[in-house]
Amino acid sequence: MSSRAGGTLLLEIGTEEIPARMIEGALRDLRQGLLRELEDGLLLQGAGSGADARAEVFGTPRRLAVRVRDVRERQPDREEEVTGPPARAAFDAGGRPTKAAEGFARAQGVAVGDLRRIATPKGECVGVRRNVPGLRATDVLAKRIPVVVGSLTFPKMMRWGSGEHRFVRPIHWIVALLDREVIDMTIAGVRSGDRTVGHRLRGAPWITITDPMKYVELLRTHLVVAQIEERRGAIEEQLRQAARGQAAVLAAPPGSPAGAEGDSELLQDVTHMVEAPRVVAGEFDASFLDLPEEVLVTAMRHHQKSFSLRKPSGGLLNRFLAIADAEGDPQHAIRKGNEWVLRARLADARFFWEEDRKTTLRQHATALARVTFHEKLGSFAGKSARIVRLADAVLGLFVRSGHSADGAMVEEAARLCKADLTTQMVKEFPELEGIVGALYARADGLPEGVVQAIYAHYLPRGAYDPLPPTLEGAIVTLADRLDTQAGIFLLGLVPTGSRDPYGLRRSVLGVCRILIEHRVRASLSDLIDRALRGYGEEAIGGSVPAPEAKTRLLEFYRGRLQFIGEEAGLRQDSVRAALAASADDPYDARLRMAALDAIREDSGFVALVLAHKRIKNILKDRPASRYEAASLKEDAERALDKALRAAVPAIESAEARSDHLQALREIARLGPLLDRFFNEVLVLAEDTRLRDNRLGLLQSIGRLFLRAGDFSEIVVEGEPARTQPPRDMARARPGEAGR
Amino acid sequence: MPLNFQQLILALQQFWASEGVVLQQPYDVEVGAGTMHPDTFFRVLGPEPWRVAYCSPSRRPLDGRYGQNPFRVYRHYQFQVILKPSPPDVQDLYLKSLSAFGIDPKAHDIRFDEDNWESPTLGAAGVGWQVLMDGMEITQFTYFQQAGGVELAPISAEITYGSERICMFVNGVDNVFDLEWTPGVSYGDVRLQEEIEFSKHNFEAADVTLLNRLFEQYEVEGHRLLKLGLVLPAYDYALRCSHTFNVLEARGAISVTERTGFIQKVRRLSVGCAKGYIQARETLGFPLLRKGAFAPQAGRR
Repeated sequence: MSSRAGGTLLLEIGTEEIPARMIEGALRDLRQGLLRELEDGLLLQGAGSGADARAEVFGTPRRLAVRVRDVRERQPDREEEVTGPPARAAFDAGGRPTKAAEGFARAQGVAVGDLRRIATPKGECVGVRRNVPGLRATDVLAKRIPVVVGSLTFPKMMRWGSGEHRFVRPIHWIVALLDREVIDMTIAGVRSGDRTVGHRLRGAPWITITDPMKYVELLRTHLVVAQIEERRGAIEEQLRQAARGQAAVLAAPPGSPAGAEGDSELLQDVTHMVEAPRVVAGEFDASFLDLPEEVLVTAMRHHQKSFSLRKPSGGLLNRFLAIADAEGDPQHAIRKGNEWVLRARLADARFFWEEDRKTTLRQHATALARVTFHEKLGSFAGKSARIVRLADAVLGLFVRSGHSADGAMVEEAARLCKADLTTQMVKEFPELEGIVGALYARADGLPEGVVQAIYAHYLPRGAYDPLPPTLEGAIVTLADRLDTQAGIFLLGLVPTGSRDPYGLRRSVLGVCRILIEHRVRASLSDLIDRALRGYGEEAIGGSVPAPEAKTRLLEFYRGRLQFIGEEAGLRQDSVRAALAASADDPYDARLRMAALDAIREDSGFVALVLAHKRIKNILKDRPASRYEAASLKEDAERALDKALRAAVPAIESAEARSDHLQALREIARLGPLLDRFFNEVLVLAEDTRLRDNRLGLLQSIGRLFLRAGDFSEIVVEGEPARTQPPRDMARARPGEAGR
Repeated sequence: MPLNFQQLILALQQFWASEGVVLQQPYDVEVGAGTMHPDTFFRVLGPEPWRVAYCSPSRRPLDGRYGQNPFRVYRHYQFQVILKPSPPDVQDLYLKSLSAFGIDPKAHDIRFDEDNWESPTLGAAGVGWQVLMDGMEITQFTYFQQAGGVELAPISAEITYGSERICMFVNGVDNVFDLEWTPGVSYGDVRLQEEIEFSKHNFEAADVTLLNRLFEQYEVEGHRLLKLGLVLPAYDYALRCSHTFNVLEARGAISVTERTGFIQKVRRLSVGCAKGYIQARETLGFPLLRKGAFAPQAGRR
């Protein structure tokens, strides 16, 4: 192997079964840590940026592995400069070396005559230049890899045996190779080597790896598919084939949009639960098909991690696909076992269904007083009552915005939406909350509008999920979310960084999305006031004052609206400028952002931005002053005043219609007059009366601008961009949430 | 021919006895799980090694179904193993134990699926898995990290087999009461009446006033005994408190807010017992640290 091509590093940590949810995060950290040490240890050939492509990760429940190509076998030799005492201390007045210089030379193993003078920021010093021979990569890595592994953190860690070591699960073997050479080290009491382990039950123990580049192939012969994507692909392919074989398609989890197929969340889970994926098909008694599909699919995916099948035309089949960690199932033991377990699960589900159905959903709702919403915020009975009141207010907004939602259905759905929390079915399958309530409502013969509203009132769950399909559902969702947001903010539990235990970012985003997509005019300030009042006057233990909670919550909404604007592809500064005018009405704010971003293309707008910045500079720290048109002297200022007076009603009327583009155009018309004003009129005149009058005029213009947006926030060409605050965690793409 | 219920328990006892464990018997105060047996709760504390196995009838009043549900019973039989310190090959040992009752792991899909365990009343927590065989949970496998509010070292591995489930599964029986206990006698013959009567007792008939008073008295007595340094008797009262609380809960006599208070009371008592036990063993000079205790026997593995 030529040293130019470099060697291949393979690190595999063999453990007992790691929780599925932790594998990808751990691999990311391991890879990053290893690359950092390689780079810091001068072992990566070429620039660091290219390093990414050279590092691959592999992972199964029993192994975390990273392979890096183009690793130097030896650090490059390099010249190192060692600085010693200051030159004035090293040489006496006669230029002869002092004791200090001699001591330094001795310590460095050189003759005094070899010392040279080196300029340093602290002044001239003596020093030596030495050749430092590069160390062998295996020696460097044997010291650095244990640090990387030792610094890995997991959401939950453990100790084992004597209890000295901590990791996600006990470590059993470590492969650490640079090509064929073992990087000799000990991690968590385990000595590294060149031997890995095959499939727990079906592979050979102790397989020697002779070439890191053949790691994947070698493991495959021992029934381990080490590559995550390969494993995922294999499962998907087997699922597709099995479904096709039964003329069926994979069912989507409950709550998915109509017509959705497949279950990517389940696929992700099972990918990390097996080393040798094998789809095993089974069936259950068709008599269970009289249970609701949502319950059947959940019973299969929740405990059994099995995929459900349905006919292409819709209905569920009495079939399932389980993912086994096995090469096959020749004796059908796996199939029979899974069928037996599923039968037990479905019998349980039927038992819950029948038990729950012994009382109506309305009766279930009366038991909500015994279910805690939050220990400091009381029970779900209280929450339901608040949702009913808030839903009524939200309904009013929808009606005023031209929607005709059914008030009686809204009220009923609001009262019943949490009732299923008392049912056995939701205790067994918490992910079915809402859905189960709706199914029981339907079985009770309640109107379909109520059923739909309860069904969807947890939507949208994620940032990109569909909204509740009916108006009644949208209204109940809004009421529920506003109530939770108000309660949690009253407790001062504002989400920070990656900590958002109540999912308030999604909750607030959901409220904004619903209001915007339904084009409902609303005042957040008013809604939040109502929601906060719902918690009553008495102090809640550890709570912050309501006005403070409101301010913080409104600020939080502003952040989400900024996110919505940017997600829609609008420029960050346009969005910020538009929200500076007001963020109180999400729908209106969304329109204003779009208008502001669009009008930036108009010629003349840049002038307006610069004018606004100029106005703000001039007005900075000045008290408000009034102006009288009669006292304006110059033509330019009189023309500006006249145009302003003409513009105000036109702008107001456009704003009232939410026609922000028109309002902005009206404002833009003032641009040339403003330019002329600044060219011809001296604002800060000697005459204080003239000066105050002109400042007053500019203040009026500034106020008018601010109705549409703070244009001074807009970055124009040739101007240095403002440093922006760091991007917020929630902007990560879905699925990238912090571990 | 798959094993019947008592053969299964015998097979497990035989297997683990040959692995050099102390074969213990169930405890004679009501417990909700094998973990509450003093030979687990206390023995996992402190530096001494310990290996034990026993069948533990476990009472869970809330799980009672009047004998009507084919899968749930108020009292079930856990088979419990403690290995302290956890040996490096503990998973292999466990897989080997499956063949003791006729399961060939290679013919099945066996998976270790994350499942951590926590017992607020015991101040105990562990990390581990539920073991799934062909999708069926057959065992809880836990590395104890904490007990009685104390961080543990060495770490014990706890293996808890669900005897009924395993037996139903290997026999392909759909109703627990239909299991064969011994030829000609079913699980239902042995246990059904008990399930019906105790369900009725726990859900309908238990005297709430009496139980509340008993809980208080057990608690007071437990703390009094602790002060006298009588750790093991005090722990019996902690167990009685715990079971009384479970019955009260099934009876619907405990509100959400009261619940936390009850749990804290039991926890305080069991944490006190744990601390007292470690002290007592220390005074005795941790006798099991002596050479030869749980030494591997000739011929074993």
